Amino acid sequence: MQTQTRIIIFCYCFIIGLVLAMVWPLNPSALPALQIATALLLGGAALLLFYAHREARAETSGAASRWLIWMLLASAVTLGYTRYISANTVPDTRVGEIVMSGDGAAVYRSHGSLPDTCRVRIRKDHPIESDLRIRLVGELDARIAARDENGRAMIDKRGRWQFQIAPMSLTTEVVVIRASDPAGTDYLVDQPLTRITGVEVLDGPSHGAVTLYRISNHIGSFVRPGRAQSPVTILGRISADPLVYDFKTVLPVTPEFIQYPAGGPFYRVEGGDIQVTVRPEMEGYEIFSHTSAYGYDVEFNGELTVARGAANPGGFNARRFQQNYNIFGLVSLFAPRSGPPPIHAIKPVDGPMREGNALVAFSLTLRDNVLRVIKQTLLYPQSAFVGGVTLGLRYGLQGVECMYSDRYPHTCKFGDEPTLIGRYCEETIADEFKEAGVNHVLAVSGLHVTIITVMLVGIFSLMRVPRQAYVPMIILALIIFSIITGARPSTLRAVIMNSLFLMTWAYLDQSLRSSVLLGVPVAAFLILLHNPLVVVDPSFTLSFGAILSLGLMTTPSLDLLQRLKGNQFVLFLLVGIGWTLIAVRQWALVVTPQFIFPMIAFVAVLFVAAGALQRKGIGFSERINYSTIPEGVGAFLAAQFAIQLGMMIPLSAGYFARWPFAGAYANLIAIPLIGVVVQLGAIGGLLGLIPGVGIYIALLLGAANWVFSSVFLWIAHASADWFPYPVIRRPGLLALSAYYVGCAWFIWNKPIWAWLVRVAERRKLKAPLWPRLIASVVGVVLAALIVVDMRTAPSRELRMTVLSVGYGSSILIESPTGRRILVDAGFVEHERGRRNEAMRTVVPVLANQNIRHLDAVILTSARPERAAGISHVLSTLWVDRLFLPPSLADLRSDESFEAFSERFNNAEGGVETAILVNAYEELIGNAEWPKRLALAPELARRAPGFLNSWAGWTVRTETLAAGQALFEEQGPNGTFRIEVLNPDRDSADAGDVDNGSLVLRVVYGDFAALLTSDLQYDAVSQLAQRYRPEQLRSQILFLPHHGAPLDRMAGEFKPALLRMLNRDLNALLNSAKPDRVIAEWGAPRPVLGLRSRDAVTAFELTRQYIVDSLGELAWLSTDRDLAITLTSDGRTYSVATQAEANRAAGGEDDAVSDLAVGF
Amino acid sequence: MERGAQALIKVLGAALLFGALVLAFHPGYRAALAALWRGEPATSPVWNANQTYYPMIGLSDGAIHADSN
Repeated sequence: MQTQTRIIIFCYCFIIGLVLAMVWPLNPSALPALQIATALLLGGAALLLFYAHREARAETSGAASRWLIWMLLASAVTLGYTRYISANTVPDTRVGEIVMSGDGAAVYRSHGSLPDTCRVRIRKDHPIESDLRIRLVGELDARIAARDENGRAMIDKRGRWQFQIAPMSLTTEVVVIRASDPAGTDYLVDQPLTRITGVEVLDGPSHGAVTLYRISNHIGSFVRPGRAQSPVTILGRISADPLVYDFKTVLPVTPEFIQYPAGGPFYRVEGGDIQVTVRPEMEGYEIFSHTSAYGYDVEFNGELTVARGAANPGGFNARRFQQNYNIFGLVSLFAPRSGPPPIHAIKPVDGPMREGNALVAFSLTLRDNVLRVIKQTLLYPQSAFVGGVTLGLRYGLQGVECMYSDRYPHTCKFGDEPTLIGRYCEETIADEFKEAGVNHVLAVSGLHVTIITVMLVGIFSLMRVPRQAYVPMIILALIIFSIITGARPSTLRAVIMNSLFLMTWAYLDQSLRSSVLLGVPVAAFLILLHNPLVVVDPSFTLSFGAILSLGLMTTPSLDLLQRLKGNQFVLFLLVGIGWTLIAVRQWALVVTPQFIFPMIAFVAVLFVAAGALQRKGIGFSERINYSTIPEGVGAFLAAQFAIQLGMMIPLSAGYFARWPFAGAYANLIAIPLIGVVVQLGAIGGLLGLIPGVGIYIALLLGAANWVFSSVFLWIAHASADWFPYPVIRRPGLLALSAYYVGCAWFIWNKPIWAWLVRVAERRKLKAPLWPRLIASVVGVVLAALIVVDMRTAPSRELRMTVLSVGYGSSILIESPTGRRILVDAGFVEHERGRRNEAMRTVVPVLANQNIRHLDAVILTSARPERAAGISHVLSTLWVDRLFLPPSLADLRSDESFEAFSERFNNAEGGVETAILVNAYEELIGNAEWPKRLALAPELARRAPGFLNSWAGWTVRTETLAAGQALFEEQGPNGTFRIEVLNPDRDSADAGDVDNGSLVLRVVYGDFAALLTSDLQYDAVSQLAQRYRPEQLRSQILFLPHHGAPLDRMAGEFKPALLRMLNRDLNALLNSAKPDRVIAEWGAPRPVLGLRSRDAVTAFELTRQYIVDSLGELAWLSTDRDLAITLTSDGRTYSVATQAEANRAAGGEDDAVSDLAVGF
Repeated sequence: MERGAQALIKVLGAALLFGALVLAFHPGYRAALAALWRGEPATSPVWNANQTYYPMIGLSDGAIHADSN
């Protein structure tokens, strides 16, 4: 076997080992054994390699060669497995044990000394007879930072922080190990130690033992979630270029020492980076808001917290994402009211400021200079686009509006008439790219690196430099390029692959294909060996998926397409055009089984008929075929087909549960165009650095690039505008595996077919029949696996998921009878932060659970925090029925604001105009932004019609009022129904924005939950009076108005609120007698007139009232507990929160345990 | 791969010509050229359009080094 093949096998087996560790991880305590096994296997493989080499030289075929491949496989799998486990956890180290000696004394048996000042925990491994009370005896070498006359920490020019050591003998506080605690309980020793010399037993059993562990000094072990109010001091170094925004700068810092807690000793940090945020109002900010800050030593003081985990089931986990890039803590610094700033750059006592790695510093300075040229030669926002794709400055595009926004006076106007398409655009460029399926161009990847490589090869060729001479220079340039662009996995992959390709091309004269086959696994191996946690990162997976699809699937795709001739080729084109037109007209059809399967059958029949006609000489000539397309274009189209098949469709569905339909079309133009944009951006940026004439040449190139960039942005804009971005079912691991087995069959169909024919012939079976039969069976099995995996089995219990959607509400109800009902759809903010909870949270959570179809959506109130997201939900999901409060009956898209206001005018006390304006814009529409979604036009789009009916895309609207019951059905343990308790259809309150809200009681068997929507407290009191207690009795009560109804308080705010709590809420609590109370509340901030300070006060007073009335455990809120899931079998119920799930996943708990750093 | 050199030359040549056309017809770019010619790049509309984009990148290397503080 060739060396190259062995390397390829080794690399792929390493990845298999890594995946095995993800799926079936061993306990971190097995890590030492794994490391020994890995070392032995690698050593064995090396020995066998040596002997196999000798055998090869002696031209004998011995045992070594036979065993080598198995040893390589085993060592690679073990290495991958071990590497993942070691990267995924930072295990605490066992340092000794305390053994009871029988006479009440104890012996401390050391298994190794402490390497530094450490914290220690004691683990009770086995049950003990009675409580054990012990104190550890030892010594502490307390590090005290040496400080200069300004009180700042000191460092020398070699980067050694200066400390004074204060040695002291120490006996720790008493640790009580209780007999009643289960085995496996950990006990933290309060004092740190540098040496343990013995143990003092105050009381304990006659025999037994406990184990001592040293807690790792990894920075993650010092982090506390939330606001711990315990600032720490950290000494460290800025380890990468600062991320500078106009309102803050984020410094990536490698901490070296941490004073924990404040006033305590300094610990030497053993791993992990942190992100420090500084703000412009802070003294000395300008020092840090520049690339030159890279490499500075810093001292800062602040709270060390951690990024939030997922707020909802399957939601984005910022903590996990950051940890995959070795970021384990966050420090947010603010300017103090008085005194020195909390962060200082520290200059060594015996030299100048230390700077970072010279190559990195050079690269970053070069990037800044090229960016300066781009800013002088390209108008905004095209400059942000070119900066993003050429320099990897992707975060510079965050929140940047589409170029057709009126915000840009110079860029999109040709004369006075502003745009080529649509005037009103409020989407961001990044969103448009995502929807158009061209988002990949913003991730600097193989495409960009290859463009740069080809450009550099071209330049050197022009200068007639021999390739053996310029290849090392190009590799150095690619390394600089990867540093400039942030060294993301996709860039690293491309740089490693291109470097390998260049070397094999220049020095071994090898072809591109063999280079790809070797380069892909080697690049993956090197990246994952360095950081195995990026294996599930989209940046890594999509990058490798794309290159593997290109390398492996382009040729079979081309073969397939080239088979199409004459009638079938024309039919293929017509089907493609027809499919596209249908998708544009009614996208729901093309992802609907009732359309897809008949259409596939119909098209298959057409193809057979077209073939039959062709054989009879009827129809188009066979000269009309795929091969008539120019060779380069044909290959490019086949490559696009391969990427869609191998990467875009399966991985986009797997990661995002969306399919950028436009991608297949937009990329046909976008990919060639991006080559031009990147080359002009890079060449212009570099030429602009030449003093004198350089900037003028750069301006010429920049002006041309402005046009090309505008065209690119227009393609993305138009594609996002014209084509759908449908939600599709999210495949699981099984479905993806089955899909890729199918892809493998497609890639290697010829050898597989030949093998099947050989086997059939050997077994004397009919050759074409049996292989076809086997192929069909495999196809059916794979399809069945995909369908089974993506099917969502209905729950036999009632499950209510209260989503954490900030200030707003959205609750998913899954009934025991299989119904799926969404109550409210969350808030949408168009200005400022552009927060669209419907698309950011509600739809992704549903998609994550493979829910594309809802039996009903119930909108309980017209308030934007409940209603604004409804049009987005309706634009993406199948919804059979929409229930509205009486005040929203018969909405029409041509309804005037005055008429809309009339609906609510009978409300006593009225409602703020701002609320009504907002409700009008979300429910009826906004004339200024005709493309913005709103409920009434969306309902018009879903009116019954041929295409809508075929796609199941119609929605029936009904209004609800007190006395109605929805979905009354028999479940396994009782009746399920949703009772409507408010408003009375004929009451004066029915038209009130708040008191006309739908109050729902969700009942299953003995369980009930009462949803009070936006009732004000006067209506709460009336509700309690109107119904008998048994009609309101509910184990779960959702607080009215998110727990802070303060709009209509007469008199002084606090006394008025307390009066309402004691009178109105108390009346409801007495009737409903809930066990738990839920407040749907996000970050306290002013929303549509809600005054922030008053809102926080109202919320806190309400919380305190509930805690006083029902106890601390009764209180649940979606800001603290995140998503809340209520499950009931009709007899009992349970409550689970996302915050608990995050704690169970590790990293957000104060409990002492091994640190889980990945997932 | 070395054939890319010819393509690069063509792309650059075409881009320069195309850029000249844009400069001729786009008032913002004309003003930018004039501002550069006058030695007053800070008055260029192109530069000013980019004021909010990476504001710490000024016309000169405006880094305030900690040493100088």
